[in-house]
Parts: sequence; structure tokens; C-alpha cells
Amino acid sequence: MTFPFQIQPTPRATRWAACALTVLATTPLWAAEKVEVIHWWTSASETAAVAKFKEAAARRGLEWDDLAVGGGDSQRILLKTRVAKGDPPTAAQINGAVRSYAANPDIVANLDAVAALGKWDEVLPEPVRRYARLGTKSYVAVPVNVHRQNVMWISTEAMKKIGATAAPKTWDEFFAMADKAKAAGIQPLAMGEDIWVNFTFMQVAFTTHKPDEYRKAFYEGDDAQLKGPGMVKAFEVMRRLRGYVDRSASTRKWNEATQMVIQGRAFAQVMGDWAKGEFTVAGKRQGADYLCATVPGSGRGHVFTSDAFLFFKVAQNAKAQADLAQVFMDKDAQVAFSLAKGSVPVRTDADVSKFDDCAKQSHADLVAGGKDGTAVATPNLFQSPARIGAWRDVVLSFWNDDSITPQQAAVSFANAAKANR
Amino acid sequence: MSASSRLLLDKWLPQLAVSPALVVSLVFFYGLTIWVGAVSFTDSEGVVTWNWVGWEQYIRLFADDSWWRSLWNLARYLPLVVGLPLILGCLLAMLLDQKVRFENGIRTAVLYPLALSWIVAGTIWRWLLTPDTGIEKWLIGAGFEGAVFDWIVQPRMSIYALVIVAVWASTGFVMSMFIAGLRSIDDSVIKAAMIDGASKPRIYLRVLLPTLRPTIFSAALILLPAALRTFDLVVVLTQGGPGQSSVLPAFYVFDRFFRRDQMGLGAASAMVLLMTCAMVAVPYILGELKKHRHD
Repeated sequence: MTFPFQIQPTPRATRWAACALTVLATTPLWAAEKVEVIHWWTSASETAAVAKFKEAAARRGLEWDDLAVGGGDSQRILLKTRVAKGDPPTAAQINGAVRSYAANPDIVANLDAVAALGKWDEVLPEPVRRYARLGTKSYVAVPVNVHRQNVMWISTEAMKKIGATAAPKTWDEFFAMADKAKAAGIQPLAMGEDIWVNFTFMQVAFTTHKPDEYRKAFYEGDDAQLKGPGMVKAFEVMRRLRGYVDRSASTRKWNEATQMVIQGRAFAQVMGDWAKGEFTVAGKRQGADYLCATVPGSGRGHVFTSDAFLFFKVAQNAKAQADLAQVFMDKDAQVAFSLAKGSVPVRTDADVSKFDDCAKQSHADLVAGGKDGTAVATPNLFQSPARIGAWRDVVLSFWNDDSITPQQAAVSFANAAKANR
Repeated sequence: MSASSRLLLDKWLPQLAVSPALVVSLVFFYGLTIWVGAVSFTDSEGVVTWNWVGWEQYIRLFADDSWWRSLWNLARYLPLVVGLPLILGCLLAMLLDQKVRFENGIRTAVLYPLALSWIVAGTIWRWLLTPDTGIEKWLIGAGFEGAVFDWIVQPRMSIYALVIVAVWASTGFVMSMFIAGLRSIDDSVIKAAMIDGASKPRIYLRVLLPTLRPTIFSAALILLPAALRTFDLVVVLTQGGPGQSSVLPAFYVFDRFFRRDQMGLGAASAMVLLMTCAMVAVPYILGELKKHRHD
């Protein structure tokens, strides 16, 4: 039996040979400074996106030593191994799951000087600044983009069939539409496998908590808040949603669920803004064929995840590392990167005029939400993977077992946080 | 080359040839086993830290419902994925042994799973087992209106969906082992039994099956550890879902060690799994070896 994830580091020798050749062929009089970057962006659009940063790095005279590892799991394993060996890369792509690195100041770099120079405190929204520090006092990571998570994708064809004219604003409106969809023979909610049930729960929980309560529960792990009325309400909504999901959902990939909305077989799907790529590939137009609305009850609140690069302490080339941090924060590079990847730039002062309406709305809500507190980061960015996993177990056992009441689930949810720091 | 140096080379060549493999297996198998054992006594989370905490991770492990769930799943899974391929493989081998036509073709078809990558096979099976794309839909389309085949999405049955695929994957392999075993039996044994007036089923059951004992032994010894460390199947088919319903211990180990940043806990569960394997395998091997010596 074979291991299903394949780690394929480029053979060292070939890499060195290739580097040597490039250096000989292209370098002018001075030698370029080398930075090694590990990431898991290997699909066509992702490769195109990361090339924008490579170009920006080349303009600053940096030589980008690329280590692209297919699959987030494999990348995390490789990174873990490299750090354990004491041979970390200059920077590595992360999203969440890295608190244990950040908590160890011997491993990570301190980017405060670069941050002060680039005025990061002014151009990054508050929750993103918090993420860039990963629970420490100093900047250790550079966030490059934001993906909005609380999006509901709605088929306009299905809307026409049930006589709806606008996206649902509240859960009650959604359930009314869902009943009509069900009667019309359309699947009301397209759901993917287990992790997306948990994903949906986090978006629902955002709508049943005030932003401050959400932060208290999901950032600080406050016990009273975790089993409070907001959480019970979230589980109640989940129980109702369960009735609108078909039984094959648990074996479906998220993009297979998106296809159901694209083909008009399903009314709506809760999924992050990355689902847009599926609609685009299928030749669907925003507004005409599908709506990109916020999850009912979120208003213009913004729940996001963010790709960032964690910077490691390196013996030499501190200057090159600082340069690389500036490359990732470069306004134009961020815009070019997000245009290719389908996300939005994280800088509040970025020019988003070239983006589509959905992305423009996302950026506007992020900027406004950073000021008034209605933008929150997904709990994965701040909590330990152990706690996130334990929470997921609670949500899924509730989802699969009708005999668990929302009150019981909320108590288990709080207990899971207590048992897993 | 002089005769004496040739003699010396002949003597040491096998040792020389084997030693790199020996070193590799010593370092990577036993060395890393010891390393994992050591990690299981630390409080390592996302990165390994050598902070000794004694048996704490083991206490945590056995207080974890998910771990018990995975053990219970294994208890249901293991007998089926070892027993069924043995029985089916043996039956198929005996049927193929009747000098049927297209034997090669049939053998290739049954052995085909071995040639498929798990990613491909898993995806195909996932679709086949899913109610709205697979066998159930096909049955309904064929006129069986009330057909239900949804084990993979039923928390209570999902482990049996894994069993189906595991049995499909290993039956062909077991069958080929049995065919080899059957073909190696001397014809005169069968003829002698026939002269004694034994019927064909009786010959297979009473004469051939007992002589196939070493084959059964080796097949079981290959199937058992493979079943104990079933991991890829869970990843491609269900990811342990729905909920925790199809988590097996090896998947639990991976999940804790790499995904949930609970390296200490993952290492502890890996050690428990290893000890379970040893507990099953060591007495079995010793017993078989003793029997052979008596023979």
C-alpha cells in the first residue's frame, strides 16, 4: 500500500545545478541574495499567483529559491521536519496551525523593524495585525491576502423557480426559501464532506453572536461564552439546516457541491470566496447566473482566513529576509497576486478597482470591519489545531446524531475547549 | 585473483551485500521506533520538545473517546478484512484450479486492484458507494425502486463500506498465493486420494487445504499487519467520517501527530498500535516456527 501524500522535494543536486546556471547566465556584476520559500500553491492559478511575488522579488534583486509542495498536509510535514532539523526556510506559507512555532522565539524571526518601516500598523486591519503576530508581541508573519469565508453562493435559476428576488437576509428568510426549493424539487443546501459542515458551523456561529461575543468565545475560549445562548442558537440553526441537506453530502468534495449550485440542482452553498473559480471555469457570470451574498444574518460582517508567510530566524542574509518581507507587503504585488488567485489584498490602501464586485465588496467590508470590529478572523488562525479538531468532533457528532440537544452540544463545545489548550 | 582471496570474497560477499540494507533497517525501523517511543513520554505539541511527562500522554489517550471509538472500529474491521479475503481467495483459487478456460484473463481481472493507485481506486469507490452517484442509483435505475445502499454515509455502517473496498483490494493477491500453493502440490497426492475413492470436495477440504497451511499462514501474516495499519483507505474514502465513525487507529495516529499538533499523544497511540501488532504477531510466529521444527 502506498502513502497517499507524496512529498517531492526537488533533488538537491539538480536544484543547485539549476541555480548555478541561472546565476551564471543572468546575474550582472553582483550576486543575488538567496531566499528559500516553501509553499503549497501548485495548481495553475496558484502558480500564476505566486509568480507575481517572484517577479516582485526579482525586481529587488532577490533570488527566489522555490520549494512548492503539493498538498497542505505534505507541506506542513516537510516544514515540521525542516524546523526540527534546525534548517528552516527563509519563509513558509501558513494558514493557522502554527502557534507552536510562533510561541518559540528561538525559531521565528522578528519583523518589527520592517513593520515599522512599512507602517504595517496603519495599513493592516486590526484582526490581521493580530494574526501577523500569532499571539506574540512582535510581527512574525506577513499576511498577503484575505479569503472571505461567510459567503452564500446562490443559483439565480433556482431563485427564479421559487419566485425569490433577493438573497435571504436572515435565517428565517433562508428557511422559507429552502422550503419552497424543496417543494420545487431543488436541493436547498449543497453541502460537502465533514470539514465543510464544521466550516458552515463557524459561519453560522458568527451570525448568532455579536462580534465581541464571537471574539470572546473563539479567540479567548471563554467558558461561559462558549456554552452561552449564542452557541445554543448556532446549534439550533445547524439542526434546522440538517433537514435541508441530502444524505450523500458526507462523501462530497466542496467543489462537487459547488457544481450542484452551478447546474441549478441546488439552491445555495455556504463556501468561501475561492468557490468563485468554479463558477468562472463553468462560464457562469456573477449577478446573472449566480449571486455572491453574505451568509444570512451576517449583514456586512466579514469572516476571513488569510494566507501568510511565517518568517524563520536565519543565520545569514537578514537583509534578504527583510527585503522578502517587503516584497510580500508590496501593494502592487499583493493586488497582482490576489487577482490571479481570486482573493483580495490584505492592505487597506490597496487599489481594488480591477477586481469583480464580489471581491470589491469583500475588501470594502474588510476595511470597514477592521475599524468597527465587524471583521473577524476564522478561529483556525488563533486556536491550536488540537482545540479546532476537538470542536469539529463536537459539531459533527451533533450533526450526525438527532438525540443530542443544542444545549448539550454547547456544553460539550465548552468542555472540548477546556480539555484541549 | 588468487584462490585464497577468491575464497575470502565468497565468504564475505553476502555479508557485504546485505549490510547496507541492514543498517538502513536498523536506523529507520528500530531507530525511529525508539524515537517515537521517546516522544510519547514528552509533552510535544506542534514541534518535538524533550520535556518528560511520564505516562501522561497514555493516560490522556485512554481517556479519549475517539481513541476508544477507533479501537472499536478496528475490532469490527479486522476479523472481516483478514477472514473474508482468505475465504474468498481460497475459493477463487480452487475454482480457477479446475483448468477453466480464460484462466489468465480471470486472474488478471481479480489481480487488477494491485495495479491501481489508491487515490484512483478510492475515488472510484467513493463514487460507487455514494447513494446519489453509485450502486444505489444504478439499482434504482434498473427498476429496484426501494433499493438502499448507503453504508458509506451511515455513521453506524461506514466501517463496513471500508471493509468492502479492503476485501476487494486484497482478495486477488491472496488468491494468487493459493493458486501457487495448489500448483506446487504433487499430482500423485491427488491421484492417491482419488484411488482411495475420495470425492473432489473431500479432496480439497481434507487433503489439499491442510497441505496449504503454510500458505494460509503467510497470507494471514501479510493481511493482518496491513489491516492493522490501514490508513490510506480511510483517507481516500471517508476521512474518518461521517463524524468519527470510520476512524481507525492508524488514521488516529496520523491525525493527532500531523494535523492536530498533538505529537505526544500521536506517538503514544502509535506505540500502543505497535504493541498490539507485536502482541498478535510474535506468539503466532513463534508458534508456527516451533511447529515447523517439530515437522
